[in-house]
Amino acid sequence: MDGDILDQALVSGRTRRDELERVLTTHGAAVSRVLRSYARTAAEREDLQQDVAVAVMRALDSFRNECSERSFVLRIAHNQALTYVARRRRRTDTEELSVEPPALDPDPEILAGLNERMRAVFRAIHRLPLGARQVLVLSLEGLSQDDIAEVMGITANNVAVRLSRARADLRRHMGEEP
Amino acid sequence: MTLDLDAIARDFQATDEPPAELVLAARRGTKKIRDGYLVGGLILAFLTAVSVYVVSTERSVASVLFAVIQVGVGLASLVWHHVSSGKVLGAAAHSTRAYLDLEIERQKRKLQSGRFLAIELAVVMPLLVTWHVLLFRDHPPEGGGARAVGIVGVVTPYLIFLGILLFTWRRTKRAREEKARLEALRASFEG
Repeated sequence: MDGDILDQALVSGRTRRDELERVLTTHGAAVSRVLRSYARTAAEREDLQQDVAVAVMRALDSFRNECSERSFVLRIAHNQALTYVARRRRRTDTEELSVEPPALDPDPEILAGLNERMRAVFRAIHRLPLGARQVLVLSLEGLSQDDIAEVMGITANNVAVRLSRARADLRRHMGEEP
Repeated sequence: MTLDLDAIARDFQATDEPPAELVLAARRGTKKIRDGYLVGGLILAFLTAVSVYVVSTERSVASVLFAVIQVGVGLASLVWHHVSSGKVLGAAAHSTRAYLDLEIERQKRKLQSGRFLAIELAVVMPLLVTWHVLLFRDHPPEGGGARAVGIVGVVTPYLIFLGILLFTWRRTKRAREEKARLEALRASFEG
């Protein structure tokens, strides 16, 4: 009987680990793009990778197919990244309460392996306010407005308004008049 | 030139990276958590062994109480840590708005528990001092050994209280900062 319980626990542990690795492998590229949109240095990206991976592992048990697995993982990645950036802001600047990141380009290592246009896109994304950044990255990721609304906890109309503003900001930061 | 956002989205989605790094990060994170539980388990095993030794050498109500406190506090801390860290990490699965609200509530609860502890200590400390004064007035320690034991017995709870106070002060300070940060983040999120 005890052997059965131990076997079940081991199988359950293995299944959980396999499931986590499957989810991270399936949606890993999307998560990497989210992290690239928030982390300014390779060290930050590494920290965030671990935070997101552990958060996905702990939240996986609560996944009830109420949304797509992709939305679920992106929600966790964005939430972790947003709070990480807000914390970083406070650590480096004690005078301002604003959590908005300064308009600084990410380190070249964050943009490594990208073509010139994508480097410009990620640099522009880093110049966006956090709310606009989230809505734009989710949209570039191919999520519908309803899915974005579900991820962010706002209405689809609100998503449409924010998205239009974020796109205009992206154009402006990429050197094009809106 | 007009930016083709659909083309940008296609290129964006094509910037695939090998997800091996993320899987490795998950393994590192899982190992860190497992190591934490292992250390917690070892401390609990040590406390249990000490408790069993104390009860086996002196069968009294006091030694049983000592064992219950030792094992109870260790076990409760481990369970509390498991549940609370699970809740913290699980919160990230909610929508961003709900997640920010939950995080702000969590910091508020930390501040409340800090205030509660400060009030509790403010009440308990004078009672403890009074009890010690009365104890030493009625039973003055005789001899160097008894005096040393008495001093250790008196100083220990104050040191424990001081440690709790410092920990709570730091925790409350951090919670206040974190709450301000999260509220600013929520304000920014609301646009």
